[in-house]
Amino acid sequence: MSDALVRERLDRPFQVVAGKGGVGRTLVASAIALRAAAAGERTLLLEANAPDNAARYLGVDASVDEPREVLDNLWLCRMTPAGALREYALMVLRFKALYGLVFENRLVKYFLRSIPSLAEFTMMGKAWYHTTETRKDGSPKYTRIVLDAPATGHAVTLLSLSRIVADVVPAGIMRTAAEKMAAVVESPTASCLHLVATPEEMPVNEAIELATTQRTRLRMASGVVVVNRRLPPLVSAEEALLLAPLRADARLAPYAEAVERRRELEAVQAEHAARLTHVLERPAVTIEELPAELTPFQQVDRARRALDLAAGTARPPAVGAP
Amino acid sequence: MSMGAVIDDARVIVSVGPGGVGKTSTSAAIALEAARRGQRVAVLTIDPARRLANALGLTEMGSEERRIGEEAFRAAGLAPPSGVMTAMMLDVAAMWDETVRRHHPDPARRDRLLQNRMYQTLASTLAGSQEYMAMEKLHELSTRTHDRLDLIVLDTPPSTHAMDFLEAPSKLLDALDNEATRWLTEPFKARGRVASRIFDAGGSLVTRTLGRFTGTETLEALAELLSGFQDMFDGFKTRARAVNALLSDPQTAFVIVSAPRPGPITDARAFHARLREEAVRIGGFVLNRATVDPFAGGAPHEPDRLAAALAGAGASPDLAARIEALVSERAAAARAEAKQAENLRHLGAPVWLVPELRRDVHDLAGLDRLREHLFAA
Repeated sequence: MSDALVRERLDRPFQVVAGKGGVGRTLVASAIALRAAAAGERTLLLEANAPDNAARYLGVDASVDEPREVLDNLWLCRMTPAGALREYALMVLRFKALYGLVFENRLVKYFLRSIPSLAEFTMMGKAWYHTTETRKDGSPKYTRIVLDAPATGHAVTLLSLSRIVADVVPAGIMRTAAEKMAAVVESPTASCLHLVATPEEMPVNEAIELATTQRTRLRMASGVVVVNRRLPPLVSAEEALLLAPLRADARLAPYAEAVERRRELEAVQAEHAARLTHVLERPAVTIEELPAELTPFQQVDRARRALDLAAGTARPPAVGAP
Repeated sequence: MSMGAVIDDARVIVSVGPGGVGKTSTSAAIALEAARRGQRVAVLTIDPARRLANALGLTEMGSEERRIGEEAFRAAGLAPPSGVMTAMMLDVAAMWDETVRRHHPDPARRDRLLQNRMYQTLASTLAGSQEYMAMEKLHELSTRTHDRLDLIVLDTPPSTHAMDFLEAPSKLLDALDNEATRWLTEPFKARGRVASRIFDAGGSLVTRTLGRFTGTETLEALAELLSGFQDMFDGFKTRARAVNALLSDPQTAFVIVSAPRPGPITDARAFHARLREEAVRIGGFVLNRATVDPFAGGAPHEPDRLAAALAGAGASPDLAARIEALVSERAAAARAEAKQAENLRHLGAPVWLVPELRRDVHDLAGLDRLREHLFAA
């Protein structure tokens, strides 16, 4: 049951990965994209985040403003404010010389920078545009688009902007574009928002708040919740009992102390993970704390395996994985 | 110099640093110590974790200042401080309204601004809004004549870019009033409409193209919004200047809060470099959540003795190895972190290394434990 839910969410055409800064959004977004690509889906991973992180995880060249196929069936593309604005302007104007004349104008450049959130709006416009691209036979160019969103606050701005513009801005070209974008974001079946958190106080709070925002302001469908960097139990409960006598031996007491601290941390993590999955009422995927000696690609591949396991779609490990 | 000495001669302490390193808890712990020293202190936080906010008596959103009462301290098993500690949270949308109401010179135009469709949404999402409003609040608190504060602890929004907090207010002011926005708003101010400028047959290629790009009505609504802000601009600038002077005052100390791990340390260094450029006073670095080495007392690891004891108890043979790996890893982490702290000391500012606490800090008792470590460090 839960397997099927996870699978259905991870198979949607437009998926957004969000969460607090530093919780591993890019790792999760890369793993989702890698999983889809391995299943034969033409997958586009969009980085609206710190550039180059996804490329580092995938072990490929840094992303550029245009999608580039970096692995089989996996395209990578970055979204920068300046690049997205340029693409949007060129699309509207359909004339490069005019773009140069107007948008390279010093006063206009200055002015555009001062329009609040215009950068985010054009970035979302770019994401939407890629959902509409088709191949020669008319089929969609990408069957999966995974958007690695910026950290919470900016992610909300990014995702809510199309609705805000559609509601607030007077009729015109911007509103029309915004309505189309909002339709993609708000689709109850084709898109979803995945939340990532590490099992700690602040990241879990942010994920819970983001889930509320998602339902109320963003009107987006729920994806899965990923609990990242969860410590696996070091010792079993029975083994912990065996450690009690060590306390009497001053030379071994620090060992018992270290295990107790570790078990406390595991318990705190369990509390936070439970709070997260209980409040959010959506399928959960757990990714264990990965050994530091793994290469970035091995980490992504481990994360992909955790996703496959949760979705009931386990596949053999990719070449180069441990 | 000790953290206690920083508290005693500063009037303002600004905590800066990346997110997720306990910045808000540290700010609150500093305020708690000041209150224990008999000061009247306010801690201004931006976005506290809910449970920490509750610990500070901030149960709902709003920028109201709340005093942490004696009964709250007693309930946490603490003696009430001899001074007064208050806390407040920055509610950006509410503060924009308050600022507009208080400082807009023209009542009719003020109401139009507050009713502008774009205003509510955009004022609070405008980049730099939080930082700007933190500045406004700091100005208000530092200049008020009633309940004068001995110390204000300002907890800044988390950012990875050291310059964000210092530059955001001026960037925001620049976005609201520059050559380009004035060019859009001047005709609006003169005639109440901007459309003529955009629609004029004689309008330049630039304006016509821009109109095509955003829709002319959008430009109009934006012009109204911007001109409403521009009416308040002289006040904005005056207060921003006053706050800049306050931040460069020797009685204002910046405390860089981070964690002793490679990423956060890099951020801390960037903050330090940037603050030094601004020639503000740097109180020091607080490095939270330092790993505790279980063998820090200097006793040797005795893996064989451990294995023998566990084997005697009938444990599986790999248990001792798992535990030895854990303590070795903790010891290595603690050594690496101590080295990071040592390297940071070469920058010339004090470094306070605070060990990780056994539970999250989310109540007054937790804050008090953090305070003890911080002021013992």
